[in-house]
Amino acid sequence: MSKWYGTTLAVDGLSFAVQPGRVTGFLGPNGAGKSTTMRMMLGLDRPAQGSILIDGRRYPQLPHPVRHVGALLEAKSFHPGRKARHHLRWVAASTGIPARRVGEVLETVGLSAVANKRAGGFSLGMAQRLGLATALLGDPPILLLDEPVNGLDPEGILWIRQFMKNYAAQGRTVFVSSHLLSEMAVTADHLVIIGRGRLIADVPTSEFLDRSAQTFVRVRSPQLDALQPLLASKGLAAIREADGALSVRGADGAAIGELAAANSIVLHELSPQRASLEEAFLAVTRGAQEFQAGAGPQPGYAAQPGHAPGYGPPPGYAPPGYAPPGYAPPGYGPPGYGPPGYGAGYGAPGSGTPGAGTSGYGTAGYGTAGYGTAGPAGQPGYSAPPGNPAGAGDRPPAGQGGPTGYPQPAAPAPGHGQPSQGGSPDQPYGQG
Amino acid sequence: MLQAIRSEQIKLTTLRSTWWSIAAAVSISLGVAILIAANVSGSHDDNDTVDILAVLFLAASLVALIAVMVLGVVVATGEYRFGQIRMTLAATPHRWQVMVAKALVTGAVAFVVGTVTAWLCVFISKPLLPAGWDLDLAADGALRVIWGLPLFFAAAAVLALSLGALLRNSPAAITILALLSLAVEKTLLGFDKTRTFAQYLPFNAGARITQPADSDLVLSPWGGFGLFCVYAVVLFVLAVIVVENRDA
Repeated sequence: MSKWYGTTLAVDGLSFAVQPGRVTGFLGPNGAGKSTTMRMMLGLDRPAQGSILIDGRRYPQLPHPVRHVGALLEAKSFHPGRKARHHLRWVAASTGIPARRVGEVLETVGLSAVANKRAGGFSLGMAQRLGLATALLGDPPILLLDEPVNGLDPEGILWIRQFMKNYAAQGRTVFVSSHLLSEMAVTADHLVIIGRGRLIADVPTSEFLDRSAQTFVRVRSPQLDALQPLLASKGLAAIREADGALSVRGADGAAIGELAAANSIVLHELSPQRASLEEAFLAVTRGAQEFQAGAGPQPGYAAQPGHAPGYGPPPGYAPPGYAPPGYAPPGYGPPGYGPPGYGAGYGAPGSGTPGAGTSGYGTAGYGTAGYGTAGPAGQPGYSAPPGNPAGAGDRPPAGQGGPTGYPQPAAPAPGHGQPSQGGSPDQPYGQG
Repeated sequence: MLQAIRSEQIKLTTLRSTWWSIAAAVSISLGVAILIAANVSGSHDDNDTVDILAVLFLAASLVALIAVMVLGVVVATGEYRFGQIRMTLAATPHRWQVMVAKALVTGAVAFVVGTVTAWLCVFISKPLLPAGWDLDLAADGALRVIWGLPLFFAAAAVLALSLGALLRNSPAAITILALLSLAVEKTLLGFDKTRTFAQYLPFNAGARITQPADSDLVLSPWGGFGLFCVYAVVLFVLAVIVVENRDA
């Protein structure tokens, strides 16, 4: 299936199937074509090529589409002057759903108290709930939700997550789009990942996470010069970070510690690290992003509307200039991906100190501010390389769920030596 | 189809703007009719029921018409402005049904508003007219004028709805309709060179049904109204085709 907007190819030969009985996450960076695809599913936009079949039929050919497919496309797609109850009434009437369903779905989404309020006064979270109520009116076997957690408070996020899981557990189909891998990781059973309108991955969530997660050990020692050849002799890849620490892959902390002890090398730090979901996502979608960094981070990027400090791009989305520094610490990345551009973008020169990362956003690191879990990043003595704390800043400080929203251990990857920006060879889903 | 009509009916009646438009249309028409009835003077020769009705309906067929057309425009543009069109078309994927339902509901509401306006104007004005003036509903053409107003309203509402669906922009559609009906067409009617041509323009033609038959105008009352309906239907068909083929 393909779709053009003028000369822009929004969806490019996309093809996948969504199965009932599970939550399918539809994941991709902003502008990847998620919403376009969902609009085409509902027959609102017409694909240039291809078609979408729902239980063997195109959407307009379904006898009572709203009773077959419930959709939440975007929040606030209702007339602000109409009361919530009346909005649901007209949708119900348009497809022969009895009016009593209106009260039921309002109860389900927790809007009964404001049923007789004009929808224009609703907050984004309430608007999302009204949208969900609209989708549920027909008690459909298929639910399409476009970014349903946007604007919801932590309680609402937990609620909708549980709701989707229960819905799928009844043998129904839930297809939910998001640009947050961290959200999808705890919600979806299966992932369909797209970038630039193309299919990147169509895999079970657990498999994707397993294959994407990268672990390595961070080592600091005054005798690194002695340690490094020893590691190399054991066949372990070790990369010297900008702050003097060593990132070692292929061995656990115990093995490295024993090796050091056997050779009387003093260690100051020996900490296991895990690449965050965001980084796994970036690795997969890199090269398929609408707004790519291109040859290097763009100066003045931070001045763009919507990317101001304190707000930041949505988590999981790689703004130009962010991904490369996070992956290529000074000395390892190709020219143009290094700290200067990063500094220009985020106003924090990459000096390799925690302060460098936090100064731009005033919040603590990835593992603490964004996720609230005891990720290795929060360890004392940990010294963040440039780029990672920028990742922390990426996360809106509030409103995205805070501590409860992201239970995954999410540690920054302190530049663990991705050899290139074009998708590392060991990324299973890398796009060439 | 019946479901689409019911749905459009709920949409229309659950918005305050609908009731404001209707209240404006009725009150403007009635207010001006009362003012005219209470202040007319003239010789006995002017005592012709159709002439009097045409004068009484002046505000209705000009200004109240705008309020009715605003209603028609908003029925279409309100959907696009707030993204509600996606829900509408997802619920009724056969888009022509949505458009036909909107036209039927909006046209019916406009017809009712026109009927109420016309009869209120007649009954409230009648006792206010000076002695010697009479409204004789049995007079030739009197009922045609009285029922012509709701018909004119209904067709104008469909025309406005179609323009709204084509432009998807309330201010643009309302400005075009108001300028055309109040200014451009009437001005062209005032110049000798354009007088004949101007009579074929939509609102000049449509308003013929509320005017006396025996004038020096080119179009007869029903002929003019028929032409107006052709304008409305052509625009409506155009709107259906565009809505069917446009990405929502």
